[in-house]
Amino acid sequence: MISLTSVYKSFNGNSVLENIDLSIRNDQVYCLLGKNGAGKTTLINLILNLIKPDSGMIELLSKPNDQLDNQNKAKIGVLREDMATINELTGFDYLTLIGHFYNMPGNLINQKINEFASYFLDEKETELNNRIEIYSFGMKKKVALISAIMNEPNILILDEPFAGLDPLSAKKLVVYLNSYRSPERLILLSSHNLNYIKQIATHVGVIHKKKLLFNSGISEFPVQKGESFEDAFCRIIESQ
Amino acid sequence: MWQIFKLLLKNFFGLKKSKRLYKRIIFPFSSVLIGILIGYLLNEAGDGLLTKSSDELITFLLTALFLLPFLRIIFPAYRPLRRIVLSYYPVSHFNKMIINLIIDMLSGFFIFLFIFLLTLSIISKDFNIKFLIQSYLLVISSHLLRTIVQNLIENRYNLRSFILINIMLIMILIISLFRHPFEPSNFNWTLIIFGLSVFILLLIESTVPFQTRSAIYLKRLPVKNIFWQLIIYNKGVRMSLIIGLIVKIVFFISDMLFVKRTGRHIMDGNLLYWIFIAAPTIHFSYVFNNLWGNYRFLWLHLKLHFDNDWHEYFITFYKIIFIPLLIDMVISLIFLIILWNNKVFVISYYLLSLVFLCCFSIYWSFVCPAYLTDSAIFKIAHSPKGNFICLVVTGFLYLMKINSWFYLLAPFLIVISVSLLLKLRFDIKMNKWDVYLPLFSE
Repeated sequence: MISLTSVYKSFNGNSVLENIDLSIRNDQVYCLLGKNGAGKTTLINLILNLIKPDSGMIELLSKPNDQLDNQNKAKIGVLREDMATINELTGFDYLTLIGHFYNMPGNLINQKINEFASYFLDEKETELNNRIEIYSFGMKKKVALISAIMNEPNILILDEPFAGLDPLSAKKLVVYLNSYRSPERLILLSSHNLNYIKQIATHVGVIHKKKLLFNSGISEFPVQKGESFEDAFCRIIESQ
Repeated sequence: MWQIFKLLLKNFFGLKKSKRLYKRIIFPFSSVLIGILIGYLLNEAGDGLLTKSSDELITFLLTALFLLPFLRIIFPAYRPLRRIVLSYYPVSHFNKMIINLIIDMLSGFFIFLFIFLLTLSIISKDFNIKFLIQSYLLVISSHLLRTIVQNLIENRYNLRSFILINIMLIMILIISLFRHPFEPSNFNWTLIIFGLSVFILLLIESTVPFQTRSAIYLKRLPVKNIFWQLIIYNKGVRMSLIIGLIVKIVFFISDMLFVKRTGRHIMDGNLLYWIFIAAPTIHFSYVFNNLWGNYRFLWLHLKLHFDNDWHEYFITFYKIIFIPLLIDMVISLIFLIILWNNKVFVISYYLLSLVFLCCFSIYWSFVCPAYLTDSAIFKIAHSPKGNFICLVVTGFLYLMKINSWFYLLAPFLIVISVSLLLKLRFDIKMNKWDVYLPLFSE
């Protein structure tokens, strides 16, 4: 479970997020929507304790997010917008390193890499044995994605998971995320691709003008008759 | 081209940033002052008041002017080539070269050099307009040669071009050694060196490199160890460490030759030599004092997976720096052999500085991390305060050579080093240092 209470964040005196109250339960697939620079990534960084809020309380797994121990942290998987891949390593070595960070046994790491690589990659062996530095953007994204899910975490946080993926890979990801949902798991993602969001999200939050403008189930999203999901989103933003 | 020239001038003399004040006032003032001083010195030499003649001094000056821009290739740090006018712009090779040259010549270093030379030619009776032209031609040639060598370091050319470029570089070397283009009477040879440099650079501009060296590196060296891979395949770190090690080897070998010839050591009474060459300081100032700046995503993963667990940070940090330091230690054995009579001091100096630097670098990597963009990778300036502390402490250790009582510094330094580690351990637990924002707010 992720819980934010009255969270306020500013940079150099300029507020970015104001009075954010948010609760994401297990079994939810919660999608953050918003314009570029709305504060989605900042919110994710706050949740991950990469930056501190000016005020407010953030809890993960029923603990304040700065008091999680290594066992708690092993239950969290993250895909960042910048992917955070270590370019000096090969894809295989990178995933092995991340597996060790998750304290996974060696044979399980190999098994998971093979399993996910055969699902997401085309020619897994040759691709994973190359250095990440020479990977295409999409390939880096897939490797970063595998690193986030290889431990099958209870909390999966994905920042712009569809950006840079070809339609086939994006579709595979949609299928995977839908199958990943379970009562013990929670998925938080941010994306601009509303087409994919419609297919996986159970709940939606819209961040606009520093506030959480809309926070509810996707079925309650105010889509009017004859209007698409994208149109409804634009209307909400433009009406403010 | 005139537009580019105007833009650069405007940028240089613009009043946008107050921190450029020193550039506009102090540096030109210093250049003028040094020009006046050396001008008077040349006048005194011309009047026979010094043991050296004015011609000898001008030769010395021209040699220094030729070496100075070229040596900037490694001092203060190696900086990759800037490619302002890329190959896909519809600009001729000659214009491309001229534009790049103008951009470089309008940098602070060359402007102040020009002010200095102009002042010198006004003050000195002997350093006339001919020497002014000769000196500036040597400065430009040296800069062009630096660009040529960097092109050869960073790119891979076809065999024919590579051989041709190298033949001409050897010609320049032969002319420099045997035809003395730095003597006031050998203006023609200066012109030939300038012409050859321009020709080689034009050849390079017109030859498309078929691969960059970094791309070659990506496919070679099947290294298994993850931490060794981090060193080898990180361009900035690799180059910085290689340059540091080469500088050390070159100085050690030079010292061996110097001892054979004169019976004295280069490092006798030379504190900078001890700080930079004898101790492993150079690697710390280049890379290790800001290790997370070089491996920010590695730090991010450690933060995401272990957060306040100091143990993982420490292990990862020392595993990365272990192999380069081991290589440095092996190379430093040459130094020990050179100074075998002073073995106690050499070993104490090296090991004590190593202990302090190892403890300080991890501490400083947390306290003052700085993200390194591609263009800033080789700048030492990313960690100036930390580097200054390292230099001062390593310099203090030299006192042990002056008086044995200063060996008492050893336990004191070890206590400080261990205290730094303990403090960092506590700080990590308390989540005291903000590493994320400096590394990720580009």
